[in-house]
Amino acid sequence: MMFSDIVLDHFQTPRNVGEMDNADAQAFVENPVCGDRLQLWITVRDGRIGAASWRADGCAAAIAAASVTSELVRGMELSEAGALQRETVIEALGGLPARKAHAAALAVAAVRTAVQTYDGREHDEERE
Amino acid sequence: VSETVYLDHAATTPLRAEAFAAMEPFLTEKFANASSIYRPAQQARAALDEARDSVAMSLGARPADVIFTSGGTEGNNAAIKGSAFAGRERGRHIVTTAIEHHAVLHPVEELVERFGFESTIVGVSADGLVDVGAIDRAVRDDTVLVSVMWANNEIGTVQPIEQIAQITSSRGVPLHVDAVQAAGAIRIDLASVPVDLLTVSAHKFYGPKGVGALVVRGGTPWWPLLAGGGQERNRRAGTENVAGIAGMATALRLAVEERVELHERLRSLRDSLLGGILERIDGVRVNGALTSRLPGNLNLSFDRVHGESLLVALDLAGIYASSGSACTSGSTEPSHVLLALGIDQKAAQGSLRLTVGRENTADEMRRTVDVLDRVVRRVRSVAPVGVA
Repeated sequence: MMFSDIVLDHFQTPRNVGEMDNADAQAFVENPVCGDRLQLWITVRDGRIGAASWRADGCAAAIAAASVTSELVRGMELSEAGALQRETVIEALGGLPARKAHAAALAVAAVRTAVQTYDGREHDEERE
Repeated sequence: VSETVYLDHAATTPLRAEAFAAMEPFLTEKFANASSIYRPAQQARAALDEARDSVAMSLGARPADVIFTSGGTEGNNAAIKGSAFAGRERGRHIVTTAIEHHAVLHPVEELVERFGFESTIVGVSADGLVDVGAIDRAVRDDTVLVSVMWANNEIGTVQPIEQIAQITSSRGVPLHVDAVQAAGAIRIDLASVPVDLLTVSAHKFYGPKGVGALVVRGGTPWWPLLAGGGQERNRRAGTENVAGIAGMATALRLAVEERVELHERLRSLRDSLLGGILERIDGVRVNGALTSRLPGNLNLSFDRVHGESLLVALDLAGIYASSGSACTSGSTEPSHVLLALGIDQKAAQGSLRLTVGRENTADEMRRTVDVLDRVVRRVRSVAPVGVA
């Protein structure tokens, strides 16, 4: 099998699936070339991510990366989440074949987009 | 899961016991080189002669026209390059189709890019069939070869080779047919169909890997690919793979003998698999014509499901199948066959190829439907909603 046990576990039993009604920010990212799509929702408490949930379609690696990332970012400071690296997600997955690294990149892009959306809104509120 | 279901017979088939039994002596005590002159070597030579007669009879060919090769890739390369090089004084144009195997398309590309040939790649209909008239229109005065597969490896469509052969023979252009998927599965009789070159590969009809045959009808302009020792009457140098050749001959003979009975059984299994899938799962389409198709082939697209996700989930459930595309390096490489049918990128991504074989059972078809139903639901249940 080309995938680690962690990838297979998250693919078979994905965590934190589904839209969130009380989300503080969300993101929708897409890899236009391979068609993988990821929706991410986060809640924020005291400058940290409270919870994250997602929906995705794509290859098995894309689904596993979304699932593991939703666990990885819980409790993370926003600044830390905004600087999340692809390698961190790959490590949490117990490794990914090199040609599947784009799956981790998509999850990272979703987290960054959600954090930026939240930060942007914060600043808007400060200005008011 | 302890019990597995093998549904990838278009990729390769298990070696049948009779073929293994035919090979075994030549892998053990009868190891002599068939080109040597002592008595054990003569036994190996006799086995080759017998295998050649048998393979020829199975295909309706003359024994002298049968050349043993290492398999489908070698057969296709030898047929195409050998015909092109031998015909280059007459012309430099090759006609083939958009749904050929890469072992045909890439040698043709090589001839175009490195050796100054031109090619016409004829398209196919939306259900994966080659238009005979389009082949006729593509042939020019300087055409040195037409190459059309008998049956497609991805979607199983069977091409009208009899009609195409009538055209090429009346136009005086050699016809190569890649029969790797067809041999043993559909009737091949070269005595009645004027095909000039034909490629088969043993491991697709329950023979061993690494052996095949190329039939080159006597008088066809053709050069050998491999030069060296004088084996195969100077048409394919290299010490003969006696064990593999003996195994192939046995496997092909039995495949031809059992063909009609197996055809019915495979079609019935395939149809029950398709029926079960369509009954339980929505958003499924069949790629390629259901008539004029190999009996064991099913190629499906599932809406909102990545074919590769399906394969991983099926593998974990002990079901082995193939997909028409792989998602690599951030780009999806969809099957050139599905794209040639005009299927869009997204549907090509959701494609799954299930190919049924002689050892499959009705119970395995039911289990496959159950697993597929579960897997498709699960993968769809995590897909985005409310976005285009």
